[in-house]
Amino acid sequence: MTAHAPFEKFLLWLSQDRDLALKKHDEIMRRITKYFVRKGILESEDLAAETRDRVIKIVNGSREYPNPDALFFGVASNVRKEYLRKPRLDPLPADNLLPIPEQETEHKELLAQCLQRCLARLPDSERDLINRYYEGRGAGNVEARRKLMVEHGGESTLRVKAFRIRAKLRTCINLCMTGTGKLN
Amino acid sequence: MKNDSPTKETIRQYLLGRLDDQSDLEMRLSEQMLFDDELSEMVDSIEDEIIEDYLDGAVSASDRATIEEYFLRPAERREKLQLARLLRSHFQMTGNPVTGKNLGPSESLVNREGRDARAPNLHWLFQARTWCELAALVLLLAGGLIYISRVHSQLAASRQAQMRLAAELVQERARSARLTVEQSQSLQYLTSTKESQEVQPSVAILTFLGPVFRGGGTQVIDIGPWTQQIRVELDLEGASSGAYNLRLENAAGRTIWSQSGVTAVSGGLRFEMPAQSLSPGTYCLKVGSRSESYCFRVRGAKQNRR
Repeated sequence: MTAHAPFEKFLLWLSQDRDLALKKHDEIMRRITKYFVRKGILESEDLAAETRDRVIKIVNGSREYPNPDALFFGVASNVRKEYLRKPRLDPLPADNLLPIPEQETEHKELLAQCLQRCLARLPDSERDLINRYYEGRGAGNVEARRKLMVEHGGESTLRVKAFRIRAKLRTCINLCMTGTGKLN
Repeated sequence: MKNDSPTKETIRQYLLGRLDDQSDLEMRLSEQMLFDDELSEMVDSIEDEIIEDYLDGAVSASDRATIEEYFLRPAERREKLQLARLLRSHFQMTGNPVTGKNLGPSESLVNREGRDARAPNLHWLFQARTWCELAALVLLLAGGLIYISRVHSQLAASRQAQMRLAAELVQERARSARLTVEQSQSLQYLTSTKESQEVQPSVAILTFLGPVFRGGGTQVIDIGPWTQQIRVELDLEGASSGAYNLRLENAAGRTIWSQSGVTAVSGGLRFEMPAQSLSPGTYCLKVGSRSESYCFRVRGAKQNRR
């Protein structure tokens, strides 16, 4: 048995089609990572990797687990509980909440430029929504925000729409900042 | 999303870590969120809302502490926070919505040299600023040119006035020089006149002595304004001593002066007659009953001197 054999068996467990298995692997890892993020864990990717390693061991064991999602979630939950029990030495990320230092002005300018370009590439309706969404922020803009909610099918729908636009912008900005991105 | 979906507030409490002591609920929600895409998106949007509320300052002190110490620990959420700050900063700064027309859809975010291209709206702002600066510069230049033109006109006018004054000064100097010359001449004349008056005696001499008189020449006498008297000396040539009557006639034979009883001394007469009544011309003296006439010509001395 080679060193790669447990992972190959894990892939087979996900799907007989190797490519599909790899896609499923990536999707589960994304969800598990998000789970740890939602639980406020700083090392979300590390814990997701730990979860996958434990699942691989389990899959390579004697028992069979037909539902990958359920096994992953169960293991992730245990990993999180173990993590919470360990004394953590990591400092609180308070520094990261402070404004960007002066020496990062160039980075800040680049961010602003990327945002500008990414906003320009949004469809008109989405750009208009995000413009008005931020215009409607704050206590003095309750009426504008209420109007926007009515136009977009209520608070929940508006919130999700704004989230989707921000998600697009975030992806676009990440591409822009790495200097390799082109928008479709 | 299923009908038993959690409420917004429940999700919010979950995201703030406040359901951890409710194990069953927490596990159920976690599993739902993990595999229900619609719910997962809803949870993501509520995450964004928590961040927006946090930046708005629309959270309680307790929530704020929880957000800072728990919710914002993962890097993914700090990234969301950064984007939210960036968006707020952008919309507060520009105040103008970005339009998609500003940029072509195929334009690369980063150019081939790896430099990030200038954002279109910022570019527009820079252009607007540049135009404003150019407009200000043009106004400044125009103002400067107008000012210089005015100063130039004033200088030209001043130069013309200066030239006119200089010409007038030259004329005045010439006039002054001319007056000086005239004054000098006048003074010279006056001086010379005075000198003449001083030098010239007020008495003119008219002699009719033997040889001169006999020579047949006509005596000429200059009479000027200063001449008061004409002293006449006559050689009577053998006449006896005694008194003679004298008479002065003009060319027309009219007597214009006479004196009687003039005594002859040493064969001659010596007397004075007024000069003021004599104008230029020929005059003749008659002595008593003697037949000879002692004629002379008066010449205007003033005319000769000028």
